Amino acid sequence: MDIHEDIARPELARMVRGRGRFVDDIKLPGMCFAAFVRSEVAHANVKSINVEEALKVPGAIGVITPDEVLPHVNPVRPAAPGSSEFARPYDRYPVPPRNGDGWKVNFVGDPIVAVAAETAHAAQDMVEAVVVEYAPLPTVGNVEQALAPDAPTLHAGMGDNIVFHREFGGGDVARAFRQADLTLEKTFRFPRQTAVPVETRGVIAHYDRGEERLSVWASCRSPHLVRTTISAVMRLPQHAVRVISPDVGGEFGIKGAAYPEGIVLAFLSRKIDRPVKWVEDRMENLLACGHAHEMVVEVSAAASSDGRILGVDAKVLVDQGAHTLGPTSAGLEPMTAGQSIVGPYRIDNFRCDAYGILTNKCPGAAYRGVGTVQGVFVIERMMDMVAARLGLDPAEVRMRNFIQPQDQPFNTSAGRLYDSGDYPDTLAKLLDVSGYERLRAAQAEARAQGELAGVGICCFVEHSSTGSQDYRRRGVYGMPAFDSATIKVDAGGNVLVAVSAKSTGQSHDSVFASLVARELGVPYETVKILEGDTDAVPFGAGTGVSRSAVSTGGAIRLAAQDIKRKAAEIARFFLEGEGEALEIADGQIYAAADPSRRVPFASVAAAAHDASRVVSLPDSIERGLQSTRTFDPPHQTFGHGAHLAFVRIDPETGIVKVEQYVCVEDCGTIIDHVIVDGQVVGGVALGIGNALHEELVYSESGDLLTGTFMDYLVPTAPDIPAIQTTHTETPSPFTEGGVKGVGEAGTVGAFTAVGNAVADALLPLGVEVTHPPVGPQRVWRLINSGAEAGGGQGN
Amino acid sequence: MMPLIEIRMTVNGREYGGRVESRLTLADFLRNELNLTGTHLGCEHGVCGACTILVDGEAVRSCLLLAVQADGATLMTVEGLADGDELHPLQAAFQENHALQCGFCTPGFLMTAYALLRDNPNPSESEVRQGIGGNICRCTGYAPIIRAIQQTGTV
Ligand code: FES
Ligand code: FES
Repeated sequence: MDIHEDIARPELARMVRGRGRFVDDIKLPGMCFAAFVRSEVAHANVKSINVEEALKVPGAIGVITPDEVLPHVNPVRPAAPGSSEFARPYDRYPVPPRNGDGWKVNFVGDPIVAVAAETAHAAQDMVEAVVVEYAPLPTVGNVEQALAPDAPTLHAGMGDNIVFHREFGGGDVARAFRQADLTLEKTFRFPRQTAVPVETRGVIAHYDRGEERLSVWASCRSPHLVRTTISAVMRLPQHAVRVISPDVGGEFGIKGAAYPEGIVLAFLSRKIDRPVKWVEDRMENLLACGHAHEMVVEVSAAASSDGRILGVDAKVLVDQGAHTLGPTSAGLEPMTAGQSIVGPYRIDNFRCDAYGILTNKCPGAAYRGVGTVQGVFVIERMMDMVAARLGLDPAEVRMRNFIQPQDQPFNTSAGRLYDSGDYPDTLAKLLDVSGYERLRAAQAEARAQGELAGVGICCFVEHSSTGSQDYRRRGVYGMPAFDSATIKVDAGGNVLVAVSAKSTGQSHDSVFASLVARELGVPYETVKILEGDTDAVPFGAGTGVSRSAVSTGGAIRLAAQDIKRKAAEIARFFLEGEGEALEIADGQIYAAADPSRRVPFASVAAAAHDASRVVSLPDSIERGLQSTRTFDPPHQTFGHGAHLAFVRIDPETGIVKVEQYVCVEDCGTIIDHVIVDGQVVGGVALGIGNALHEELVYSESGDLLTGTFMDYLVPTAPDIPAIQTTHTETPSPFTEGGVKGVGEAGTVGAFTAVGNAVADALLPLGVEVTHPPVGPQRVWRLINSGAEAGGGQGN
Repeated sequence: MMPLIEIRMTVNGREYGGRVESRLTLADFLRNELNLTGTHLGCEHGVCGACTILVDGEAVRSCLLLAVQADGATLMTVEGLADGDELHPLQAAFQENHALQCGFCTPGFLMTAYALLRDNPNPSESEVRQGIGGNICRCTGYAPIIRAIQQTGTV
């Protein structure tokens, strides 16, 4: 069912001409510019805020201080009834909350005051002129410090810094360890990372006092969820808030939520009675947008002498930073990491103790591969370690542990229900396509000459399309997970499709348009997709969890079926055949038995709007040709894949070169190969960056040391090898058309394939890799110490 | 207020003039004063390459230049590539090869590639990789961008 590859992709034509329309490209009449005064101290009580000089800056318009916001907002409560039952309650405000006679700040970059001026430069001048006086408090710098008995607490009313805790699992772990021939105990440390889309966050807020309505232009992937948060926090009815998401310059998870800055901007606009724009600079983006992936995982595994994993006991300690972002995110990383540890393997005995912990660092956010990246790394490293201990080939150990295809759907001991997939076949294909034997031979040759070369494999499952039932099973309530589509056919037969999803680079315009064209049997050119405006598209969860193909695609299919039914009903008035079977193709509706008896789809559309000269419909038929349908994925789908990386390491410099990269992906039925390949290859590049370079480092006092692209290194073209992709297609039994999501698979596979390859290269030196990223500094230290090096990459 | 300085330049074949603060970057001038918003800003410290344009034929980062430094210069931005409705072959190759997803980095890559192909027609894959090594794309993994540039060959 692949759509053809030479379809016009209108979204791309616009972009190559420089005619994209991103937030920063939008100018409103009377618009002014905002900037934020941010905390310079990691943990402190703000004693005083003086804005007098700032208001004297030429071009100054006004400021908003915490006390102008606090009385008018509802806090977001990560653990309020209706969100996660395993999260702990505290009130999160969009500005520093009152704390005695001051205000509490919890990380360097915490926004304190917003200023507005006639130009962006003048707004910066105002920021410089605001004087903030701090009374510093002891800094909670990592999870160990946060859990210390005498640790200062970040948020009033919590008593400690544990914002999420859940124990889960299945089977009998203690017995598995009693029966084990071999046990392994390891502690993994994962770096703090962030998505860094090339377009940073941007918001324009315009509170129209005449209409008493707030319009917000925000670079985001879930306009309705952003509207929900803004309306709840600002105590505005939802219909008084309009959220528009224009073109989004990448997001990778991070532009899903309503950020405090956007809400403060709305207050600022209301106060100064002007539209106001804020586009964060890259330093703000690295400092204060949202961080992810940092966690410590302590894990023990029990194995038999033939390499079967009998049981796993894990403790996951996620460093959430100063806040969890939204109602579900308190448990997002801890649970996802924990549940991912069993991977594609039959591990009958599993226990996990998962924590989300608060520290004085930038708040947590979702970033492509959320938690899965880490959980998969843990189990895949353990597989290699078991292989090394038993003298087995790493691929063989995996083969011995896979869930077999005949056991699908499979309930894992970590509490997930996998839908489908032939994991042994996928790995076999990878070994074949990559020339595994040949690579091992090349490695042996390199080793014989004293060189460092390694082969890394990563097998994984990747969940996507979380439905509301899945959320409830995870203890998360009140989280809409459905998506919607409205299909409207006008009197001329043109098809407008408004969907709740929002493309942030996934080419929804062409993917959904070709889906609609195929389902309806109308020409692709007659279909137009509308996204990203809460006034114009139906309510729904939006893009995320690699879900659009499944959930929005499902809603589109249902709505298209409605349209087809109604079109056929109307076509009978043209064709005058009672009850005979009709079909639609190429914009024509015709009798299945006699295709020469036909009527154009456009004529039917005209009749539906009382605009036909030939047919006038009886009153019993409702006018118009449209349908709105929703689709709540009934169950998560699980794509899977197997990746392989071949690396060489320069022992002098520690530089890792990825020489070959191969992946086999199964994301169910593929709607559009070009888009899927794009998602996979882009994801792999991101994953290679995560594995080798990306790390946000804080000083002991809680200052971010990696605030520019000179310190937070993202891969450029010379860092990325040619990536070879192959697909298998196991349709999901759970979704319309058998589709599964694919957005995160590349990242998940690459992070570990590269990590394992580096570990494999270093194996002869007797060192273990448990602390990515494995960039030059850490690798050099590993080579030269013979033991896992601690501390940050930048230390 | 800072004193304003009078500047003139030719952009995509058209004459423009303006009075600007000395601290205004060339990128901001193009985007905000001339409404040429195809030039994007991804870092404003010279690393991501999204703001790349041609100044007197040289590919430069317009976030690192001040508008006043471009006084009297001839500029080309992404908006100057196409010939009316007709896409430049490089743009067509980007579209055809799906060398963009979100498209935010694209103008910078196009302008970098334009200068690269002009100076070194039909480059090898590794020359292209090195040649675009100063531009960040977070979406595509670079492979389709490299394909598009090699396919174009010359400008
Ligand atoms: S914006 Fe100029 S190099 Fe990034
Ligand atoms: S296409 Fe999104 S950053 Fe390159």
